Amino acid sequence: MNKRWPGLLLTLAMLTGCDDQHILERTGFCHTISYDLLPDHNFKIGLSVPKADPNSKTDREVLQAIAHSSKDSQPKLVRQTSLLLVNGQLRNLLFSLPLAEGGLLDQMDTLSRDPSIPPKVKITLADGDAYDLLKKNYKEHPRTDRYIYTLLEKEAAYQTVPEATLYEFIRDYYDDGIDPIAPIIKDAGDTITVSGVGLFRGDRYITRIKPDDLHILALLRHNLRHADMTIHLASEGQHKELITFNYLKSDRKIDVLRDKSGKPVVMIHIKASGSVLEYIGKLKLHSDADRNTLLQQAARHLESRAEEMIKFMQDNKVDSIGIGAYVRNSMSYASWKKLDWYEEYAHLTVQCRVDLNIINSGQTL
Amino acid sequence: MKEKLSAFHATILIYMTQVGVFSFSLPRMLAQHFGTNGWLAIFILAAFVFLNTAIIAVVYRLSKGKSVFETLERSIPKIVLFPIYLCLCCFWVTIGCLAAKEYIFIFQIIAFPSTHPMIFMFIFCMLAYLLINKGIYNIAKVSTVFYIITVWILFLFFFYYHDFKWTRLTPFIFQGGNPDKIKGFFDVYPAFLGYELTLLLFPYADKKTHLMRSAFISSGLATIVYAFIAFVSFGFFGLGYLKVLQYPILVLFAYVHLPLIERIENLLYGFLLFTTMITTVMNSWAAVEVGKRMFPKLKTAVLSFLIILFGYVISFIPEGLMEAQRWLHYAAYIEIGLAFGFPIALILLLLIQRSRGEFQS
Repeated sequence: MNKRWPGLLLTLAMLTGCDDQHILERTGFCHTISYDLLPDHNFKIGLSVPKADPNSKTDREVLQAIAHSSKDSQPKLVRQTSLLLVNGQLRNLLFSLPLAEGGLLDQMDTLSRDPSIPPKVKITLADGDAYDLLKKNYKEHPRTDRYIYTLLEKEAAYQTVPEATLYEFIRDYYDDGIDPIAPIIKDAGDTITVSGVGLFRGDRYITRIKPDDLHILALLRHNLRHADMTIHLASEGQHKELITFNYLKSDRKIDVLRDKSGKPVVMIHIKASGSVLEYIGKLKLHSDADRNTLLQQAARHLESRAEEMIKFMQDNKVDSIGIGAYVRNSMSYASWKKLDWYEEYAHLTVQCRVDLNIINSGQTL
Repeated sequence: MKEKLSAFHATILIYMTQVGVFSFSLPRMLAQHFGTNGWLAIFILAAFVFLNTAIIAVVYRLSKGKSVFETLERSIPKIVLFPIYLCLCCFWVTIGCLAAKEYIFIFQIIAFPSTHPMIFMFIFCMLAYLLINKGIYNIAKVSTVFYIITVWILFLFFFYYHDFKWTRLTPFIFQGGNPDKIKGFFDVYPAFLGYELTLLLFPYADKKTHLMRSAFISSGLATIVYAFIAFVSFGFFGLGYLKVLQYPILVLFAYVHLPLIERIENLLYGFLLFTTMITTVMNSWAAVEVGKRMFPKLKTAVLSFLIILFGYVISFIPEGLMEAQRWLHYAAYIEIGLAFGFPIALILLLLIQRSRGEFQS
């Protein structure tokens, strides 16, 4: 009798597989979902589903539906395809800017509630119509959904464009000391390009950082490990002076001090070092004096640009680098709760100090 | 000579009984009730757990390791004890099966959502039944195996190192939580429950088992594990996010992304079946132990079958996760009362017996 038990149990366990079936060939693994806001406040929801069928002429299906919400669009999208749509391999969520301006909390709530959606799915903003961007095929590039994903993945790996995932977005939304950010992409004809980073106040898109300033944002927001950065020291007419750091490592430290009236003063210290593989200018990298002058110039240049960027964020009342968390941690809980943080932030004194160091300058002197 | 529990097995057994479904939502409950740095509350709760264990240790010492049922039956007529036994038996199996049902409901959030939960419950109960029939020594050995199967999951928590930020922890202690901290205490304390079943292990332990020392160590182990999980969760999610996450552990698992495999939360959550299984088995075993006192002539296999059947039928009642959670919470409140009240009552009884000289005879 005892010997029969394992067999019976195994059979019973196997039988559970007869229900809730998901057959691979009949399943469509959604890769990217796009969200656009229509003038009548409905949503245009687009879906890109890769196809594994070798007999098919296309390598993906792009579906579209007009609906009141993301889940409301599901039956409309399902009606257009023979595949069973699942979200388990979802990689990217593309929101149009007008939608992001109105706030993404409702969408985020639905997305984070659904256990099939991975917390590491990317949040991306689209300049223009998100669905049109997703639908368009770019001849010289891989399948568009995959193209966008690998583009952002690569940018995040080299730390030029900060990564924004569903987990990070919601975490920063709920944290009272930092605001979320998300990269913006746009259709540039034959390619897709990163056109900036969107800055949010709470769940609402407010403004953006231009592509040329992204490395400053990266330096201010977190520690870099292997980033590349070009600093334009001068570019007037024919006189050009620039320095490019490769494999740049940086450490950011934020201190909150008090001035005589007791108001907080924020000091951001950035220590960065890397290899210099390009320098165009009159100074000599092998000369200690020249190198120090160059580093001082570059550091002052970064400081002024960082302070400009912080001023820009203060004017727009977006705390994208998380200064609030440090100010909060420097005061009592009751005082923090009493504080109108965004008002205080707009008038806060923030100073940047940058220390640069060259680890090596390549193979030539 | 009859086999006795070894100290190691007893420690693991009690620890595995403690760790169960409550731990999946523990970081969220700490955030909701205690607010900033709520993970520190674990140590306050642990103090009460140790106090309770100390009370049980007094019972152990006073009764000289004799079964608590013998102590009860020496002074109280069986006719009076019968309804108490019946209530205890039904209650313990109910709490075990409710924990199992909640586990299954949570499992269905991520896998097999349209399968009837009672199909899973049936298999769960069958496994529990088979294990109970093998007796406490084998349950202890199996729980050690289950412990080894699940303990490595803790090392995955180092995966969150990069996204862990000290600033998110804030320097504030217990701010921004529910003002009613007493409710918070009663809602979080059940995560530690399970140690009170040590009362029923007395006859299965001898001097070498150091049963009470095992109970203290297992509670200490649970404290360290809970504090670690909660600490990582607070630094990884931050207070605000943690407050809205139903089961933070599931999201933590979903975040694990290995080079060749991802979305492994289904697999990881599957492993946690083992911890819940021991919780259910131990509570049902306790019910069977009480049942044996009521029906001594009934075969243990039949008795445990009837008890598990009762638990299975009871677990039909909660039809949704929230309902199961609510039931389990109410049951846990009673269990907290029982965990403190039962040993205190036993101490009083033992002292009365001692003063009457009954105990020596």
